[in-house]
Amino acid sequence: MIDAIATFGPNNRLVFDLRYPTYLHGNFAFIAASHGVSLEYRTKADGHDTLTILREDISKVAVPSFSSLPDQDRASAAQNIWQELAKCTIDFADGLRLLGAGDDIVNRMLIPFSHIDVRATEGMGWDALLALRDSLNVAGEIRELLRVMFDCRARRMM
Amino acid sequence: MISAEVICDSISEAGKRLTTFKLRYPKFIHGESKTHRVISWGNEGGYIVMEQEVGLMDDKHLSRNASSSRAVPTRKLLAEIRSGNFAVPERWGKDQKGMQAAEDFSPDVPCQPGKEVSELEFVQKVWAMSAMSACEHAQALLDFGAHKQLVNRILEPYTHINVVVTATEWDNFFGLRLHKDADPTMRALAVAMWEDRQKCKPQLRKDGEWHLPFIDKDTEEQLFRRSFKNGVFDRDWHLDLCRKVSVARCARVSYESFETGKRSTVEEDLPLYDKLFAGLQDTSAPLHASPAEHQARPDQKVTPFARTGRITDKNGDFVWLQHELHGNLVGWCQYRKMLPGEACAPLPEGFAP
Repeated sequence: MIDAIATFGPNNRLVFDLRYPTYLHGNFAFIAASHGVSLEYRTKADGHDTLTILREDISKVAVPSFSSLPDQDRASAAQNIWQELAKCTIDFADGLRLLGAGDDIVNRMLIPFSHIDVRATEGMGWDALLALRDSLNVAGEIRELLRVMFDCRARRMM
Repeated sequence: MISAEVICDSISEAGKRLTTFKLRYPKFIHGESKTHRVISWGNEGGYIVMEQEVGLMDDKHLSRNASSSRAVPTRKLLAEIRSGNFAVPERWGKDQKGMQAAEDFSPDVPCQPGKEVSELEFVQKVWAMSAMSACEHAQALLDFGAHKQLVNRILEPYTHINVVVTATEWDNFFGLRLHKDADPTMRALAVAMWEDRQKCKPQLRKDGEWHLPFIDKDTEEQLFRRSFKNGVFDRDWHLDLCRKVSVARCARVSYESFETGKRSTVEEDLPLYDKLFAGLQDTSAPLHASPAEHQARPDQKVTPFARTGRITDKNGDFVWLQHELHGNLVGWCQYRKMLPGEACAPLPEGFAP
């Protein structure tokens, strides 16, 4: 799931509250930093009970889009494999939790399946960063995140 | 496995040290950004969490390039994990209130009374089983024809990442990350970096000389043969080629070619540079300028009068001659800042200025 809410912060600067899969974070943080955008983390791997959230509601597992697969059947089957792995990993994480392992260990195991909440604040305007939404050199999911942000900004400006 | 190697270390005549590291560390700390300092009070177990920015990816003083999930073949990652060379936490801490684990699982305490397996071995075994389970599912997705970018995601907790990092300002980086309350894996990385940097003696670069990561004697010799114009050695042309090859290798975070797995040749590196900087010729294409942040030449200290032509009241002070070319470095002019259009992507179609 990728979600964005745009608001106007101090000095009338546009601020985004974003939710996206944690596995995108390293890549997005790098691109954001090189475009003067600072990220403030609302949740993080150690200090947030990802395991309880996912165990109680498996639909909250982050699942990538498999639309690049040649047909719908394959895409659905790939999603099932992903969900099955999520359940296995949640079981392993549960096992670690029962043994008394710390959140930093348990939550790291769940990185591929968790989401992160981030507030993004611009330093040099959003145009340069959002222009990358059409660049084929940028990973597909990052492009998707940038598209969601771009549409969100367009709605906010209307 | 955590490793940190200084691959280029320079000092200018003005005394500013510029260091480039090649790092390898568990990918799970790559996107993390904060450490947590906990102050406990009272008998009720209350605590305050203080957070500080200590990530690698959002420290503005650091120039970085990392190996991408899209570039590493899944089969290579699977082989690494299956051979037991998977990423693990630096410390196996027990759960407790607050963010830092005060107590670790012990190798001397049995996981259950009467069992031979220790609690530490047991926890490590669960992590390893989880890694193998991820491998099986990744293999299934791969066999289905899913792109390595997607498949590699599920292996992230168990894989390592290679990163090249360059900076002049390291004090705050080390101050925060060497602290005992920093994340143990991040701290282990910082310790490895600190130790390797302490061992190194930086090379003096005079005015006009360049800090060029991944350019060794072999590469210089290869490029030397290409640097003749009309039978005469052209030093500027030679430097330009060296910078380009260095940029390509920093983008790849390696001497090795993606395609062959062997040391890249300049015939492979120069086209990669052209691809990254296609925007210099075609203004509609974006520049991929970040790998050009690792190459720099020393700036000079001058009096304010020499730079501005005006006498200031800051008697005895100095200013940098070309501080507008420093970027996120101090006292060094960054190659990126010498490239036209490096900080501004072109507007997409339909958006006239």
